[in-house]
Order: sequence, then C-alpha cells, then structure tokens
Amino acid sequence: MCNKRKECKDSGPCRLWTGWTVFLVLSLMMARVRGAWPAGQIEILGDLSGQLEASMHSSVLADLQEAPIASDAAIPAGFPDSSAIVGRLFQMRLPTKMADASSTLKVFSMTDNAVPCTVKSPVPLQIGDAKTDTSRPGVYVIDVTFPHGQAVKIREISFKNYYTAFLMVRLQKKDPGSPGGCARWVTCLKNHPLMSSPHTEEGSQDYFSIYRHQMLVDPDDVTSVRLILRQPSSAWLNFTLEDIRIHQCASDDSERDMPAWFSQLTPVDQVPDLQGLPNPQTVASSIQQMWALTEVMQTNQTAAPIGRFDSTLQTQDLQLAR
Amino acid sequence: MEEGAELSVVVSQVVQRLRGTHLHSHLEREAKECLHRPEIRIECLKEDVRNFLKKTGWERKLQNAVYRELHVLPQPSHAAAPPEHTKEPLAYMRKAQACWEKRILKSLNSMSTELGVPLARKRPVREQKELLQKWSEMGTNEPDLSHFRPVYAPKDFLEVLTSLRNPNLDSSDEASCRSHLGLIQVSLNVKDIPEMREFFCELSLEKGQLGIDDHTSFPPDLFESDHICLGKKVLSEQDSAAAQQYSRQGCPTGLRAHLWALILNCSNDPEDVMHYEQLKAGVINHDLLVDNLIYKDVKLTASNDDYYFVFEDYLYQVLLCFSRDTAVLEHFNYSSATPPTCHTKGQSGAEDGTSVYPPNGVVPFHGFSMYVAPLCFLYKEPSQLYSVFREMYVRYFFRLHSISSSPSGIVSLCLQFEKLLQVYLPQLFYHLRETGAQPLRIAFKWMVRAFSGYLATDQLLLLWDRILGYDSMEILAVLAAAVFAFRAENLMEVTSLAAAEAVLADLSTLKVMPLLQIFLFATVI
Repeated sequence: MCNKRKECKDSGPCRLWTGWTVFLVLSLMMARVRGAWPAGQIEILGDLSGQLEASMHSSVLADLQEAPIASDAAIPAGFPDSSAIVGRLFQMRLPTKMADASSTLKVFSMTDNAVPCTVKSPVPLQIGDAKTDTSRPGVYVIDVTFPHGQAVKIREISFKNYYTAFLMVRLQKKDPGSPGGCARWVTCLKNHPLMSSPHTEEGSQDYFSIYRHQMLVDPDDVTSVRLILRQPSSAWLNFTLEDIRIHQCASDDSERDMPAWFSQLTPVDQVPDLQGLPNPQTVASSIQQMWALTEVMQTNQTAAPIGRFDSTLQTQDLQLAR
Repeated sequence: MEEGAELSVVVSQVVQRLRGTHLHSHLEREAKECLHRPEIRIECLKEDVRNFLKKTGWERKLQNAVYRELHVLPQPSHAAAPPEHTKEPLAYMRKAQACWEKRILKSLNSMSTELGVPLARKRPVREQKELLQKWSEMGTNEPDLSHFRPVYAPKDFLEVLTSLRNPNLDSSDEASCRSHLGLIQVSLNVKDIPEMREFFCELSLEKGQLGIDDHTSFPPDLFESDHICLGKKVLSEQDSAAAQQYSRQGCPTGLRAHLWALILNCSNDPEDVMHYEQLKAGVINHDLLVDNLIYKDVKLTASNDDYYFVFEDYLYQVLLCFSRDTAVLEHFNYSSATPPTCHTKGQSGAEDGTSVYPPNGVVPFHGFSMYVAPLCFLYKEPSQLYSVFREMYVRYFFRLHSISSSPSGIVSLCLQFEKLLQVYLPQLFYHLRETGAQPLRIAFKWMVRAFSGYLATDQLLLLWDRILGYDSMEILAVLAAAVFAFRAENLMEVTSLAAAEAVLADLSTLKVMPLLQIFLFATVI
C-alpha cells in the first residue's frame, strides 16, 4: 500500500484520485477477507532455527543449521561471502477451505520486497602495503550483486551503520540504448554523511535507508551496487555497514487485475460535466476521511493507563529474577 | 523517511497516547454539552464546536498535552531498528547498563536474604491502622534501620562510568590529540563553547536574568517588574510552550509553582488526587523492602540538611507512593534502563508469574530523596507535589542515574564537564590530574543530584528553572565547570584529593546565574 501511495505522490496530483480510490477499494476487499476468516485456524509455528542467507553456497539449503552469529567482541576484518542474512524462515499453517468461495488468500512477506543479493566482503583501499603498513585503511568498498544477472528497479537501500562516516553509492546500470546492452557505472549518492562528526559516536550504530528520491540518478535496471565507505577519523578500529538490503519497487503486475470499469475513469485533464453533482475531488476526500474514521474506530487501542490500582504484591514470596 | 511520512507517524503516536486519557473524555463531554448552546449551528457544526472549545480554553489544554507528549516521545526510528535500539543505540552501553542493573539486583537480593526481610509483605490490620493515623507525621517513626545500607552511592556509579569502554575505539598507548585525559573514555558528541553560547543565548550578557538583575541594587523597572508582568500574562494564557520559553530567564518566586506545573502539564484535578489516594492506600496495605531504603535515605540526607529537614514527612509521603506508581514504567520506553523483575510464587491458588519490583521499576540510591526536597518549597498539597515530582523524574532525573548516550545523560554531562575544563582551564586540569584529584571525582556527586543539597535553595530553584526552560541538563555540566573556574586560584594550591574536596566542600554561598553568565559569555580562552 505504501509503495502505491508514494508512487502516486511522485507522479503528481493527476493520479491522486485514482490512487485513493484504489486504496479504498483494496482495503475494503481486505476487510472482507478479514471478516470472513474463521477464528483460530491460522497457526504460526514460530521461527525455524535458520536464517536465509543470500549466497551461492548457502548453508541453509544444505542442512538448515543456524548461521553463526559474530560476537560483539570479535569484529571480523572482512565478511565471508555467505554471511548476508536477508530473511528468516518460519512456518505458518493456513486453512485450505475458506468459508466464502469468492475471497482470496494473499500472503505478504514482511521483508517488504527485499531482493536476494550477494554482498561481497569489504575491500580496503589504501596507499601503501595493506599488510605491513601500521595505519588502518580509511576507505572500504562493498560490492552488491544480484543473482542471475537480473536488473532491479531499486526503491530503497537499507543498512545498519557501524562507525562509517561517509557513504558514496555507485550503480551499474544496463544501458537500454546501446545495442550490446553494456553496463555503465553512475554515481547516485555523493558523500552522504552517516555520522555528524567522524570522531564522535552520534549515528555510529544507527539504521539508515537511502530512498529513490535521494539519488541523483533513477536507480532503474541496476545490475550491481557499489557502496564506498569512508571513515577519516583514526579513532576507530573498524568500520563497515551491516545488514545491507536492497528493496525493489513493487511490480506493476498487480494493476492488471483491476476490474474493467477502472479504465473508464475520466482523466483529470478533461473537466467532467458535473450537471449539478458534487465535485468528485471533494467527494473522494470526504469518503477517505470517513473511511479513516471507521478504521480508527475499529482499531480503538489506547496507550493511556486505565487508572485502576494494580495490586500485584499480594503474595509473600517474591524473588528477584537474575 | 520523507518529512510528511515522519510527521504522520508522530501524529499517530501522539493520538494513540492521548486517546482514552482524562483529557479526551473531558473534551468529548464538553463538546456534547456545548450542543445545547444557541450559537452552535447545524450547518457548520464542526467549525462552531471547534471555536467553542478554543474560546473556553480546551484547545489550549489539548495543545499543552500534545506538547508534553512530544517531549517524551522517542525519536521516530527506522523500520528495521529493534526496540532496544530506540532506547539506546550503542550496543556497548546497553551491555554496560544491563551489567549495572544485575549488580543492583544482586545487592538487593542479598540484602533481603541476609536481613530476612521479605521483598514485599502485606501489613497486618493493626499496623495499617497505625500507619493511617500517623500518615502525616511518619518522621516520628523510629524504625531500626541500622542494618540497612543504601544499594549504591554515586561514587559506585562513577566507577562503572569510568570503566565504560567502546570496543571499537583505538586506545593504543601513544598519546594523541584525541586521548581522553579525564575519567570518561567514550567519544560522545558534546557541545563545545560556541555551540553552547548559541544554545543558551537567553543567558547572554545583554539579556536580563532573574538571579542577577533582580538584585536589590538594581531598580525593579529595569527588568524585574516587566518580567513579572510577562509571567502573569503567560499564566493567564495557560500556554505550556510559552511558559517554557519564559522560564529560561528565570521564574519569579511568587509565580514559580504555577509556572512549573504549567510547563510540566501537571494539574491538580480530582483524578490526580484520586490517583494519589490510591497509591497511599497501596502504601498502607503493603510494606516493601524498598520502603526501608527510602526511610534510611531520607534520614541520612534530607533530615541532616539545614534547609530540608522540615519537609521530612512530605518526603516520606511522596517517595513511598512513588515506589508503587506503575505509571512510571512508561518512561522505560525511552530510557536505556529496564525495570527489575521478580518471580511471584503463588499462595492459595494464585498463579506464578513475574512482575516488576519495585512496582515503579526504580531502585532508590543514596541521595535519591534530594530530587524531591527542593520541590517541597513550592507545593504544599502532597498530591500536587507528587505529580510534579513524578513528571520531573520521568523527563529529566532518570537520565542522571542510567548509562546512555543521550545528550542529557550523565555520561555526556561528565564528558562535557571534563572537556569544558580542559579547554577553559588546562593548567588547572593538568595540575589536579597530577595530584590525583581528577576533577570529575568531585563534580560527579553535584551533577548526579542536580546540585540539590549543595547550593542554597533559591539558587537551586533558579538553576532548575533553566533545566525546565531548555529541556536539557547540560547546564549542570556548565555550572560544575563554572564553579571550578571560580575557585581556580585556591585549587591550584592543593596537593591532594582531600584538599581539593575541602576547597569545594561548601557551595552554599555561590550565586549561580552570574557564574554561568561569566563562564559562558565573558571568559576569554
């Protein structure tokens, strides 16, 4: 839903009305599905002991063993290829028979369009011999490639920072114009500061996202992403980015399932002949407000305390948990 | 995130918090009742009701409530960030805080087993009656507290902070420009002097201040009477944000109680009185181990203080109720600390489970009662005193005894104090360090208590005006450095930690605002 809304906003007000109506209709459909759900038939069986790694040699496919988790104390100098965790496994049992024959079941993944990708280990760039030089490198380069050479339309790059001060992102795009379809590198983000001061801790372990609209070039048809990390301060022993994920834009296929009468909507450039009827824009906005109000009434959760006195100290035997 | 998306997240969070509160039900009731009024018309019902609420001051109350929520709302975090990251982003600080909490818990547990006192017990009926009769004079009780000792003192906490280390920091032996000469060895972002001058611009030399310009030698027309008029106007408007801005230049003594209640959005409504009465009933029904710690703390600190011993009874009435208030647990959402839990063993069919101990999650330490004592000068009603203290605790004081990277947290304050001293008074800093009297060892206890018990009360209240006005406790670090600057000549002659402590033992004659002004705006580096 959020993808659609953001896209509609990007393409200006002309598609706004259709976007909101789509939103409204889809949510009504979802509400119907929810309403017809027989209670207690979905069982979430919890996490399997494994994490989906993105790599050619994934240990998960071999024998579903838990990926080793690096401890805080030992920071590895570089990451092996297979350590990019991009998903988690869990099982969910769903009822096969639906009460209402016309409703459909759709399962949306929580990873929100994250594309499986291979994150290579950071390569240091420094002048002088890496092994004998006493000073540490101040630049690392991380390459992220997509399997099977697929070209991705990127919506967002998200990661967790670990003491990187500045980030530069370069994309390798497939050039549709040239006959061979050869790829070229473009810079889409220059010197983006992640830490407000390279010497101090602010922003050093925060989570960040780089969105499409922040990029200098549209990240369409991207075959490879190169992240260039810089940390000019010599105060830190190591710096890198963790948990790098590339999210792609929602595909346009879902719009093909729209009913036929959607295509008969009048485009906004042609002013419709109202003939005494109210303006469709105001109608749409007031319907949207009413829908929001009903949603709010349904999810009537409040965080305010009720005010009743909780007496949990009725028993004598209390023992502090370690 | 785009700005619009961030704003809508904040708005929905604030709405969720305010929905279901007393204010919400009052607003609904007012809106319903105003429908009977003749000036409300059906055609423009929404606008008319809104105007009515604005005229009768309800919109202002809602504004104040929203403003209060914005103060305590944590920063909107990234979708992938786990909740512990919102509480404290740095992993090593989370670990240090968890270790510290374990130590406190162990100490509390061992005290309970050694002395044979249960963590909580129900009072017998006779004892309940006695306590109810003596409620307003609990100071006359003389329980045997000789075996109880405080769970920890500020100097224990200082040892924990000095041993705080970032595993990713290059701490090789060679001295470089970034070596930390002081006790704190973490590189947090603290303001330097030009940034402080901008942040505390209302304290600058050309602006009037209460604490300086209300001295008897100045004619009141110069600043004081205008400021008092302005204060009365702010109070009549009942605007929280305006009161906060106003208190940056000090609050007049006569208006301070109302202004602070307005800034903190604490009213003395019947609902608040009822909440306080419920807590009082809880105190009477059950006895906690923590109560003995509170008794001991009040007897050791506030009762021995020349200014605060008269308020001993009030302190018991507030602090005992504070231990049982589960509303305080909400502040753990944005604090780096976690409340200690305990297992409850069921008796007579009750289920086993875990609950928070003490019920508000805060274990008092030596000097905790000094957070309440200065407020006793302002508020006479125990219920209002209680709600103002609770609000000040969940906004400011909790940061003074937990390990976090927040700019108002005690770690940042210590680092800021040391940096200010190194920049302004490098010779003094070096001399004190060489003689084994690290300045932070002396200044730490001032900052942990927010100077309560060290300054004269009128000066302390002027200082706390600025804490409320700037919504930050960085002023404590500045004042600590200013005190060192003031007594620099004497300190240069000391040769040991004990001598340095003797020079700085008595701060009760200091005037806070001139010190701050000179240190920030009139000292040449």
